Amino acid sequence: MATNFIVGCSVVDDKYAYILADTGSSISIIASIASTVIAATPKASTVDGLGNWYVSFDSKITKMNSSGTVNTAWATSGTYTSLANTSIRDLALDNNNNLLYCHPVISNRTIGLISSAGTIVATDSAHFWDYGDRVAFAQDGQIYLGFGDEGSGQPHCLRYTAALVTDVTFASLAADSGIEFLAIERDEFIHLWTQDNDFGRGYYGKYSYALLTAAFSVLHQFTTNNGILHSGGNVYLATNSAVIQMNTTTGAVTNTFHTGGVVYDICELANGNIAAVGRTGTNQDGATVNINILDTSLSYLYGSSVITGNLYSVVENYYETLGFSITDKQYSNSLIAVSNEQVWYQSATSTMSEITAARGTISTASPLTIAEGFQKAFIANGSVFKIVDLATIKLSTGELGAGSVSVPAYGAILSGDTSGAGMICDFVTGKTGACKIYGYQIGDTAFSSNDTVKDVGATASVSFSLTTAQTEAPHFYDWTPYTNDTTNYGSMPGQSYIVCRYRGRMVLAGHPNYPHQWYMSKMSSPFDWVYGSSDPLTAVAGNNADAAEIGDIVRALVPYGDDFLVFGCAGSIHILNGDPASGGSIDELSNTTGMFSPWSWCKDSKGDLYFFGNDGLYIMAGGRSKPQIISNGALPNLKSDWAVDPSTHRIILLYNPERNAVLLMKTLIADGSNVGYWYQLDTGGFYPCSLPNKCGIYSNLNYNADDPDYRKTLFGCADGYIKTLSDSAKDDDIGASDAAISAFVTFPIEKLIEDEDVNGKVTSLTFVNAGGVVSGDYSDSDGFIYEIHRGDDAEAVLENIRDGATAFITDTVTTTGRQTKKRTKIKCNYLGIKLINDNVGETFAINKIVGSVKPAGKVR
Amino acid sequence: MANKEFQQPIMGINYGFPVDKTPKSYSGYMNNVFPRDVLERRIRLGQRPGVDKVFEDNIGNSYSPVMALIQIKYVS
Repeated sequence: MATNFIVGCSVVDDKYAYILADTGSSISIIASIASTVIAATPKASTVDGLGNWYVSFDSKITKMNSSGTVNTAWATSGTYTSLANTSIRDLALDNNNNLLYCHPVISNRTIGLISSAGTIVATDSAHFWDYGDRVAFAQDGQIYLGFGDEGSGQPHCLRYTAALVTDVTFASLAADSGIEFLAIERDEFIHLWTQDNDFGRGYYGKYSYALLTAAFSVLHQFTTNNGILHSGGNVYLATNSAVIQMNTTTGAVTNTFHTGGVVYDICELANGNIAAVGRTGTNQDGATVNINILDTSLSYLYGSSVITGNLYSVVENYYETLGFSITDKQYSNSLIAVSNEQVWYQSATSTMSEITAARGTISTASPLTIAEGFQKAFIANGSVFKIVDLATIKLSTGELGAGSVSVPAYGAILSGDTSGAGMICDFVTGKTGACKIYGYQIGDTAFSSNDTVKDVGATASVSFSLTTAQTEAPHFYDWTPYTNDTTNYGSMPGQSYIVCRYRGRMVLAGHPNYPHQWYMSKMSSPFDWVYGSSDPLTAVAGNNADAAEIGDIVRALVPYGDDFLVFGCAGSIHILNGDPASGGSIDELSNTTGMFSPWSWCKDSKGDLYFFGNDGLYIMAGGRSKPQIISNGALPNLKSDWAVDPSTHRIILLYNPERNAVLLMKTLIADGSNVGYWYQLDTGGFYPCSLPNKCGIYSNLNYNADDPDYRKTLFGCADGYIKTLSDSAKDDDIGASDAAISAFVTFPIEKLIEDEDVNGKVTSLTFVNAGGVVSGDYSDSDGFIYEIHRGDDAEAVLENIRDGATAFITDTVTTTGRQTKKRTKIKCNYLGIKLINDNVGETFAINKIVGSVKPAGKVR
Repeated sequence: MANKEFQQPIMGINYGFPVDKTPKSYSGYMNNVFPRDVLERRIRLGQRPGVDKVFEDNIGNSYSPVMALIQIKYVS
């Protein structure tokens, strides 16, 4: 585990601060802090218990996290600026992260106390300040100040909280003396170094916590710049030419390490070693460095001049890194999207780029599905079959089939004679003439132009030269049998618009001339379509297997790992158990409903299958139980209300794992207009929803991106953008502007008094909006409009609400938490409350609504 | 005088009962209100999340629907 620390320096490469790693044997740079953040040499720094770093430069203090990012929530965008115009000399933190600072000059706000939020709490300018000022916090929160007093000529150390408690003048020292080191030991002792203006001598003193008695005060002949009270005992001082160790019982010097250069600052590292920084010098061990790493006996361990300037401050950095690197990541995820006869891929974390070779080769006006497998995306688009490949390299040659040159076999290991490059052959586009060979690169060496490529597996006839150097992914090419050789690798169906991967086979269905048929490639070989061999891995089709064709038109394929494959058909549901080339069988699960389309199903996190069928939304528990309709109870008219037509509508089902819900959307293919239901699995309830036309959903994906910020349920939308549901978005993105979400909810129509013939009277209403107090820890609801409708019967009240009739009362709730009681006089038999928000930039959530109700006479 | 809490239709929409026989946890008319709020994801009624772009790139360079999405896992 590396032990890190941060140094402040004179400008080096336009930077004033660096985060360094002490690996245990050397020093290396982890990061630098931009000069736009730290704009001058830091003179003091300190860290809190979480590793946050406070650094002073000029009259500013900036708070950063351990990795060097500014904490913009502190002070003003992360920086506090003192009114004094000189450098801040020292910083100290108490247990509550209150920060004390001091300036070495007579000026307003010479010392200041800043709260943990970064606001000034108190200042002191009542004393004279000069060189050698130090500040410290005791455990009990009391503040200690050490300073040189120009007025009386001697250094002072004083202790105070709200008022001065003790002020000790070190009268034996000369004028302009200062205090260069101040530390508190367990609220029992004060250690300090007082240095007179002769420079070259000073006193190490140890005093009682109250500063009333001195354990000792020992004169030493050196000039000190800073010091630490080490957790292992002993005081260490940074002097003009050495690091000095002193005994905290006697004050005697016990060890000295000569650095050969001025030591401006020292700190204790996490491993107990001491980092001493300053000017570059040749130390007593012969190393010319400006960073010396010493053990507690001041033996030299190692050093560095990795930062070339003068180093003025050093502080431990809790952002520890391992002393070696580990790479757990072994693969990547990338997104593929299809629109407007184009194919795009995720070329960087936040960027989608077109694969230009694909433009115009597919028809997005025709049905199209994609399946992932073998590190590729397989596209079925009618008579067009394509592959998007991000994993392989491509070689080009014109020599295959010429003379005795053989075609590399699937899986052959090829090498370049000239380059020494290697690859595992995956796919070859043809047997003769200009061909492309795709394969997985071995090592980092690339194939070069004119490279002679051979099969290292002793197939001597595989030897051909390349017309160009290797081409990197992405690739887009025809999905055909291997080398497009139908004699030896069989034939793919002439048309298909449904594709999936099952048991290591690519599965195709949806041939308009053979709509009951299904086709599977050889296991682990998407380029082998020789059906019906005796090999249990063989490619297989419905007309070549005991499992046989489906008697219904196949509309969707839903694979469940290696276990079973669900065929969603026009009017029935079938299931293939096991492998069709090895004893698998197909059984009918339902002949009362089919599956609407290849896009109208999804699975939840338990593996339950949801699909839109003949009469609404169905569930198949575990994917293999008989389908049960779940929408009929709440939505008995869904079938007739939606009147879905496959020629005009696309039905999308998607599971949103973040919110544990299924979204069922009906999108008008022509313009993206839509309606839908959010089916919340926690409550078992349906919630109507609609999106702007530009957000109409045509495709979806639960994307398991490498970057967690992109790990979302993605919508392929009408306007050509990939979108998602965002809790922080209070509107819908429709391009140049945002569209307000028209949201409303009608509370259950209430009979105010149980007796059918007795009216009730609501005299007040209290709304409790979500969010508690304004600001605070919980996010706040915005306001909403509420309408109160009343009537003699429940249906009439609801009908009025649905018809948009004028409400009896319309008012607004404008803020978070419990609202002031609304005084009302609502006399009625039935009451309906509708909450509405359709303002841009607003969202609402409601905790409860309470009314004061009393009987109010007979209903006429 | 009694205080009456008006029950939230936390179970969503229901057209299956007569209005005055509809269980109190259902609504007869709502849109774009979900049972998990966007503020804290608590089970309480709140406006649905907004729809936001994930990528700024216009797939297909036109006002044309994104017809298919898939992810590829690959060793690079």
